[in-house]
Amino acid sequence: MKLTLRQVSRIYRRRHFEKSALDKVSLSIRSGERILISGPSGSGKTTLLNIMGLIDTDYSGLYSLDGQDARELSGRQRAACRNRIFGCIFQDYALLENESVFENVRIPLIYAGYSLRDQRRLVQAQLDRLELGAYLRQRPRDLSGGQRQRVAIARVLVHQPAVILADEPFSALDPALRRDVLSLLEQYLTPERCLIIATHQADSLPLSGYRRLTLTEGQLQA
Amino acid sequence: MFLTNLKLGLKDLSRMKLWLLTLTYCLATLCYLLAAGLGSWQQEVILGGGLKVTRFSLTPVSFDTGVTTDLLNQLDDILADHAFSYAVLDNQDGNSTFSAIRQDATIYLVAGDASLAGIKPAEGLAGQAYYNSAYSTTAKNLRLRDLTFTFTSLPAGLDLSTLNGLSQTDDQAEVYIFLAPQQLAVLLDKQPYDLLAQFLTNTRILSQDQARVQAFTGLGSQTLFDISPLANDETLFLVYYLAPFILLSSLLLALTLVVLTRARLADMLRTLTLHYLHGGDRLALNLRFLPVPLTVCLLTLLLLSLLRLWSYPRLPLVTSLVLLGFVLLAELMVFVALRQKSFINRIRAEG
Repeated sequence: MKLTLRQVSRIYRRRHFEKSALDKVSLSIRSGERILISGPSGSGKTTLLNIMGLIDTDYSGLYSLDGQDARELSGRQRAACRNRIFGCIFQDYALLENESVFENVRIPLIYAGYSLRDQRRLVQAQLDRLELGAYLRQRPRDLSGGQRQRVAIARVLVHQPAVILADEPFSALDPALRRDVLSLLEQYLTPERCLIIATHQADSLPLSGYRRLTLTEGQLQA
Repeated sequence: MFLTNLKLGLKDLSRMKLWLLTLTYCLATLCYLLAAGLGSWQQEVILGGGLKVTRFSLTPVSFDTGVTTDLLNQLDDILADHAFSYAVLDNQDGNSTFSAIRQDATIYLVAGDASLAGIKPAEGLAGQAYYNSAYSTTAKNLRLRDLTFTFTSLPAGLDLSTLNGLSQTDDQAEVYIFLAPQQLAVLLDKQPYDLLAQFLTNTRILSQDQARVQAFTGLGSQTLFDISPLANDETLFLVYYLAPFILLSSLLLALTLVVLTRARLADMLRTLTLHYLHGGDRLALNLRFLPVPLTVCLLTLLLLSLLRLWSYPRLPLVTSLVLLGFVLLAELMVFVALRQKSFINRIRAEG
């Protein structure tokens, strides 16, 4: 998997307001890479991840996946790519609080077309790997912060995406939990998969082997 | 994937019971209000399939009754065509028994073209007395003044509902007498004045026949009444009060439906965003919301059935249109809410 951005810009427009979130960003990412994108709040990290994750298509410039222009993909093809290629982790865990852990983790499997029986099997196996097997029927609101983040990670890993996009995944965690979460994510990496982390707390993390990029007011500095 | 989303949509229903009931109440009220308004409008404004009828205002101006044979003949002539009138007799003359237990009945005397009153079919009724189907009568004939009417049961298919609307009571025997030409003059000749006053007051003439309208107002000079065409006060009431009220109420109810649906959607947007991020497309997510408006429609139909309102004219048609409109509107709102921009804003808000 190769992700390529060429001169990608994104401007948010309101009625009397215009803000450039990304300014001519060029970047190339290959399978197996570990990328750390740092920068202060509002520097465009989330916008960049949204574009790379095929959530936002309202940009100028070129973004391609394995040479295929992302803009040429239909809505259904983009949805299929979001399901098969990308996995997103968010700062606030982004869990459905009123649903069970099973319902939360199985979401990508629904759109991958797995039967309910296979969904149960895969979710249970993934939760067991993350030591959450006993919490299948629990609701996320009954879990601790670390357990909730692991449920969010289980949801991403259950379908084994090629690219993990992690947007501020450590913000709500204490230093010990940060190391645990990072370790979980790195264990998942293989030469065919890559991990992209966007954070404004890069200095407090034991990150080695990462390609470090910095975003400042929408501009990328390697 | 689509089936799973439909199942998830059904599961969502269990978390929105109060919302469903509120929406059902609003929809049922809207349907009933629109059907009632449309019915009144149709009956009063579009009376007789587009026919407009002139009514009259009668102002007493003299103590002299002035009832003459000539006047009665003129009234008979006026009512012969393009016109209709009626009077109600509370007591008959005692020669007839209307049922095993009743000696009396309310008698509707109908003169002129009964089709103008919405009675269909109006042909072939003249000169007969009809009793309502709820009561049998032992009387063969009904004698009123110098006239004798033969009793006949109501023919199948005869719709007297419009006339019944004038005074419909279930616990009273009712007799309808459709007067033949010339019978009005015979019936009213040298009789108490109140019956003529009723016929004059209740006269309706087809508005397009202005010659007949003028002939009728001209009768005023021969009676104790001053007669003038009346702006249809019921129509005015409908146009200036009831129609705006129904329109405003319907708009408010429709707005309530929109606000409630939007609030529900806003609650669901976090869930839908997560499904979108993990591979859901807009069609699948639209399907997830579909059980919601469909269930509301089902509950509305159930509520209207429980209230036994289906016999109300036009309600089935109005309900079908309103429910169809609601489902389309709800799905349109979901389609708009599931724009890419909404997801991005949601993700930015979360971040």
